[in-house]
Amino acid sequence: MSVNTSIKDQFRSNRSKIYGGLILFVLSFFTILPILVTIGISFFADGIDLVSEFTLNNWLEAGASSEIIFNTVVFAIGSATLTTVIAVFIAWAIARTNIPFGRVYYYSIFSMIFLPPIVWESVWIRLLGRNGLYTALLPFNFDVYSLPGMMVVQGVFLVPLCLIILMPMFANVDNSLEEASRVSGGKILYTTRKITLPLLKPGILAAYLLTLVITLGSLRVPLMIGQPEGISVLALQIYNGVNEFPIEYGAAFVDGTILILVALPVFYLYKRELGKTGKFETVSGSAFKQAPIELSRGPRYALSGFIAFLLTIMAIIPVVTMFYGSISPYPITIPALFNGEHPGFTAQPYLDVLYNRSTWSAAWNSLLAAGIASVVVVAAAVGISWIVNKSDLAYKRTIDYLSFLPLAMTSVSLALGFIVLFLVIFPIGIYGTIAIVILAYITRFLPATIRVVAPSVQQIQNELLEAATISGAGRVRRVRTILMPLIIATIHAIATYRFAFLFKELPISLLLQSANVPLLAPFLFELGVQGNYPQLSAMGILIAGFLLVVTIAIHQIGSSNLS
Amino acid sequence: MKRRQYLRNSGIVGGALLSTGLAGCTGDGNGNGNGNGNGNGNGNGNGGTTGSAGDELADELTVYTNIPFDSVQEAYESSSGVDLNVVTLGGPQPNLQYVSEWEQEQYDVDVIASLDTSTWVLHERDIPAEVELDQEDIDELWHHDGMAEAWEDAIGHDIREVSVPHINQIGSFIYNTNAVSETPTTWDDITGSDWESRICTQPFTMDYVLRLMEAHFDTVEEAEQWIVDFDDNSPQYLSGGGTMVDSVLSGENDLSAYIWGMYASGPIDEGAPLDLHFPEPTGMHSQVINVPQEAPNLETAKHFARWVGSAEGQEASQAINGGALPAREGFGYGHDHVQQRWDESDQTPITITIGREDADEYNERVEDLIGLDLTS
Repeated sequence: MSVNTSIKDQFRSNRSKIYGGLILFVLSFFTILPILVTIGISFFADGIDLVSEFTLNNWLEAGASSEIIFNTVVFAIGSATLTTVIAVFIAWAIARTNIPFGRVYYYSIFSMIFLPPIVWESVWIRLLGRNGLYTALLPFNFDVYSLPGMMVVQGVFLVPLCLIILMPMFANVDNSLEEASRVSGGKILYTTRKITLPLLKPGILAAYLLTLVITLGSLRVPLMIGQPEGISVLALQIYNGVNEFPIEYGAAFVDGTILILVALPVFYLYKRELGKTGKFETVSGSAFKQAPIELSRGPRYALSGFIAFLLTIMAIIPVVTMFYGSISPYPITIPALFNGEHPGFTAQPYLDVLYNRSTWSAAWNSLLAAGIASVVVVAAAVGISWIVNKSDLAYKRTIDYLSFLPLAMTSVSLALGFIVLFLVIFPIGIYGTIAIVILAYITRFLPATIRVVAPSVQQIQNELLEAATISGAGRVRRVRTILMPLIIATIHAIATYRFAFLFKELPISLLLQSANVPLLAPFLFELGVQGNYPQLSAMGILIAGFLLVVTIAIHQIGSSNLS
Repeated sequence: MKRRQYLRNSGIVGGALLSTGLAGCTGDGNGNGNGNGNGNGNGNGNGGTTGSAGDELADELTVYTNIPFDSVQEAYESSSGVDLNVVTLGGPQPNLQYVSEWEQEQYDVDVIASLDTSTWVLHERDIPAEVELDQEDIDELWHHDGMAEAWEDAIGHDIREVSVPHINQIGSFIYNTNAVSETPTTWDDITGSDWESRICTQPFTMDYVLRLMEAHFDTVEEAEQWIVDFDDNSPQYLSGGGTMVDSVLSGENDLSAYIWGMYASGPIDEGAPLDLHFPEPTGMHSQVINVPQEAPNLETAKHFARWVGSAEGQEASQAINGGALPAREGFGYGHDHVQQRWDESDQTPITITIGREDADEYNERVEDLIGLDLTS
């Protein structure tokens, strides 16, 4: 036996471990390494120097105060709780009852994902500000520039995401248990409380934990609402430490580490609860199923009316307010619309942003970054889902865990880690370019994409693949003729969602973009800083409209492919 | 190692991973390494007004500013053929952010247009380059009595060859006429309890207001008490002049204190229910153009700075935000109503320019008095 043959044999026999190991290595580079360097640099950073001498001073003096950590935790818990309560209620009403217009409500709330950052917060400041419409209607004093104000704005913002996760679970609850309860005399609320919700408890908890970990690293609401009133959270401290003068890397990396330490247990619980949910559904048109609980005429219209009321408060009035702002020559109070003080409408804000070259520059760069990242992240999610669920590769469980790890890092901590990774450890020339932004997008949003793609891959019958193998189909052909047709609807849905999200992503863009490569969300932040509310609102309408058109177009392409 | 240190020195952009084809993104001028080689020779001889005819101009300049820049951008692009990539930041951020990048040896920005009161952070580090202004231009741009001396006191040396005054900013009260029936005309007016939770201002301007109060009152104690009384009215500390006007128009607040008069111009033209008053005493500040020595397109940046100081550039500056006050002699507000209000106030503004020692002292005092961090 020749040496070459022996090596080939060894390679064949260890192929599973070699490929598995390679994937682990790549994943570790983008997940574990940023965490380790963030922790490590917190002992070496000093002022503007990323790497100086070893010091404990950053931990002893420079890190966030206990008040800021408290704010961070309270903000995250409050927002996640509000989001989950609203989303569970709406998901139950739409998916488990026969209320009219359920599909309309679902897609209307889903459309909220198209609304861009900064604009959203500005609109809510208008609504909940001192002379805001909601403030006037509330029977008690409410200050939007407060922790509860931040929770409300963040909590409502995350409802669509939570609803997207919960809807398939609610739609697929085993009817027989609920029917048994009702046959035994259980009323609807009793059945919901005793049967439906306990069945869905792991899924609801997982959705809660996901919104919690997202909020821990959220920057938009703290930046727009917390900062003016001096209410800081860890994510804001990190942003200020890295971007504002005087630069304080030591403090930023300590805060980044604290944020990771807070998020890691949440991530662990999330992953554990996710495991308990068992079979997941996909975010696609087919995920929506008709309701099994037959409410009588009165309650079902009452319930539908209440959901419509929530939808109006959460989405319709804010969008109308945004549109109103976009066609006004300057910011005007909403009562002015009705008391004759309105000066007349104008399209000037739209013309101003459309004739502004910075708008197109930022939009083009974001289109490019979001487009590339969406394609790569969906492809990577399909690959990893296949490996974890359908392949015989070694280290599958570890690959599964590592691919979810970026969730625990939060966007700001990940951006910090990437600064060190591509500036100090591997200075390969991508820092300061759009490439590092794309890489960070991919890393950060891989877990959530896998979360959607994996169930579709999981559901493919092994017999189909075995039959194809027996028929002589190679790996590529199996993927092309079996895997792709079966998951194409899911891919369209998640690619659209991911693109819509990344096109207006804020924290990573703000921390990693350079002055020469402007991105859309930071550009919106600039408009916000200039106080150009009409133009900001016009941008909000244009971005939401663009994303809506893109989504419909991709959906149509997907439908024609399927047919 | 400092962040971004290797950038620009190496000229490597894109690198081995994912960079191929991406460096050509809109506005990405990084691909030229040190950035000086991307001029395409489209200088069209328009530098006549700025004394640099025949210079080979770069395609694009990156500008940090904190005020609306549309009219200047449009006029300069039309005049020179050079595109401006304008990044608008709040308050003192153009200077502060540039310094933080400079300290990391990241040199993406060609021009910094910002308020004089934070310009000391550039001069302290010897960042600005000489822009080679004509003596006549220097004389006309620095024509206000005591202006050059105030700068020299603050910075420690004569900076007239280096910094180009762009427009002058005079502090005013801007208020919503629908919400304010009786115009507040003095500083004392806005410390009354009827103004509680109705005022916004920018945090960093409290430093200058304290100076004004020291000029206004007989004793330091009285001046400091005014700051405390003002803060007791729970003013909202916002960042950015435009943000404050938005806040007043949208009903969040009724009055914006110590805001530059030019911020009223555009909205008044649109018919917004705004008016302004210049209380006595008030301060005058200059927006200045500085060109960092490490600007990637240094010569073009200098050309731009000279152009802004020229009569042609000052006309464009006069149109900023619907009507601003250019620095050059002979120019008034580019807005009749604002000019009228300034004429009515009939006062000579106090030139406020700040150096490091002043900044440290006043920042600390304001923080001690009302717990406000002026670096935000």
